Amino acid sequence: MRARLLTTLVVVLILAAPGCARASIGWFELDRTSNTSSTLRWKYALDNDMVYTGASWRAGTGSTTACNQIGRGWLPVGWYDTWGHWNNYDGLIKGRVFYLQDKRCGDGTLRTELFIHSEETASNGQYCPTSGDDPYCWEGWTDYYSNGCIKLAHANAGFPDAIGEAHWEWHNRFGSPAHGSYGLYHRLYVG
Amino acid sequence: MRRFAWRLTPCLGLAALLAVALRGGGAADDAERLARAGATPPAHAALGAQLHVAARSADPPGLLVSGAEIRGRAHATLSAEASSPLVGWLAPSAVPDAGGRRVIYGAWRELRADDPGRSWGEQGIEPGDALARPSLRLHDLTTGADTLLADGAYSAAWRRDGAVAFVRGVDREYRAWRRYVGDLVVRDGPRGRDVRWSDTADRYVAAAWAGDTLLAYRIRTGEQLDLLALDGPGRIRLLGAGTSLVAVSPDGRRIAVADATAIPGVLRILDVAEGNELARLALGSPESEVPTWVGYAGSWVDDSLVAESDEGLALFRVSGNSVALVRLLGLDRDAYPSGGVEPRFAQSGERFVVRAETASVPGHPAATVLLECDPAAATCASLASAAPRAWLRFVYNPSRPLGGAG
Repeated sequence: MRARLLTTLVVVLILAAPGCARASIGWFELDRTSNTSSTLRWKYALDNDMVYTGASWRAGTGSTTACNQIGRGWLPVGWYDTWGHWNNYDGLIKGRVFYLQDKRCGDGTLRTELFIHSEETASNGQYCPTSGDDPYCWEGWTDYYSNGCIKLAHANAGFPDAIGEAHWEWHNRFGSPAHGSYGLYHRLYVG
Repeated sequence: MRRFAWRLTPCLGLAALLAVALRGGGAADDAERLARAGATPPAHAALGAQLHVAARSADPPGLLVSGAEIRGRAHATLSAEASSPLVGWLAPSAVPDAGGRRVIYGAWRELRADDPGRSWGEQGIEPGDALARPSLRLHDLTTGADTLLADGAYSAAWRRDGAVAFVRGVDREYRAWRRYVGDLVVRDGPRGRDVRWSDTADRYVAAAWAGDTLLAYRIRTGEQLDLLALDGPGRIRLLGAGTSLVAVSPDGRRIAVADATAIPGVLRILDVAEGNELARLALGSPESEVPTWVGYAGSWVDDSLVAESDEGLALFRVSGNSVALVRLLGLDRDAYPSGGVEPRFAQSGERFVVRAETASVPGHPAATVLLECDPAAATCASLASAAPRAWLRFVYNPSRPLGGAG
């Protein structure tokens, strides 16, 4: 808690410093506490004035706390740039996604191919053809597990529309209005 | 090339730097978080036991590598520090040949500094900037000769007959915002000719040989691991999407694989030649309530299999058409928050060696430790310890069959 307050204070002080351009910016902040029940918050700073916290959501990352386990460890700490946001991404993961930069763990292991995403179809729906775990269907809490990415719930099976709300914050609270591939500075902090 | 649309760069950069510096001082907070995250009580199944790590130390049963030094049954100084940031422990960072006389190791030359606490943009790193170059080096433990095996390459798998498989990058440099794609190539001996076995460049890792079949990972979006079997140039089979390699059987005819993504997962025994499932164990089910997942880089001797799991080190017995859990051995999660990983059988299967990372507490930063454990007594002895950046690892060859040391 103390570290979080200090972080916020530092951002406020720097933004208020003479010479800093007046502009607003928003970013995600992940408080890494467990693989299936961490917290992702939206934060934004208004015209060099104050840092506000928007909505927050339960989020998953990895299935072990060994950051350096490729394909299973949770996300490394630090600031991330993003290289794009899509509403209808249609790859191995689908739907509303945010593409993150590579990041090294404490021993130097590189984590790559990282996203913020959910389990939904490219058209932001649900495809649940079996009684088991379907990759584009949010069935339950085990869907918070990931290979390392940050996962948010899709509104299904009693879970909130976290990916929809995160998407709204991104577009409406100073993330970016754009879609597709483009670089943005400092859009995620993992602590 | 499209440039980043940086905004507020100087101000936010300074803010971020100070914020990270302030947070960096909160080691106690980090330790508390890690302890909380790992605070799940150990399995209370009858098969479970907690490993007691004794203060005494022991000599390593084989070879280990740390930084640019090899220790254990031989001692050597390498020309570069051994590490494999693009591989982690999907494959060993240093692998001996079947006779144990030579070692191939991964090296990583940073071309510019990259502070993991700061974002690339904040550090002025632009898309396409070269950040590092991986290479594979060959060290002869008898003569001390240390030579470059391949530049712009990583992850070596050494076959019994001396053939070496590895990933050769399309671009030698690892670059910001570029997937480091490469080809799986097989060289018929360290000084032989390269033959490309993959059909398209992708993000591969050469994991191990099972007989004459190369087992390799393809890392896909979101770090999903696909397990591939390559029987020759262009002869590629998908053994499983979202699947990891636990171990190769001693004769190289079977492999143990596990779900890399789905939880609860399934542990399966596959026939390498056909890809058929010979046995399966549904994890997190009434059949085997714990563990719920099994990790990669385990070890298989005779009919015994050891692997990392969410409930500690899991020992399984494999028979013709069945695989069963026989023991779960957990390390103290307060002391070792992520448990033990990369377990290897030693002394003909009577013991195993395992790597773990200690918790970071004030005055004692996290360290990598290697342990040798006796499953019957549920005790471990410390073999070595080093800072995480030293890449302290066992030197081993996961390919099977092997003639000599492995």
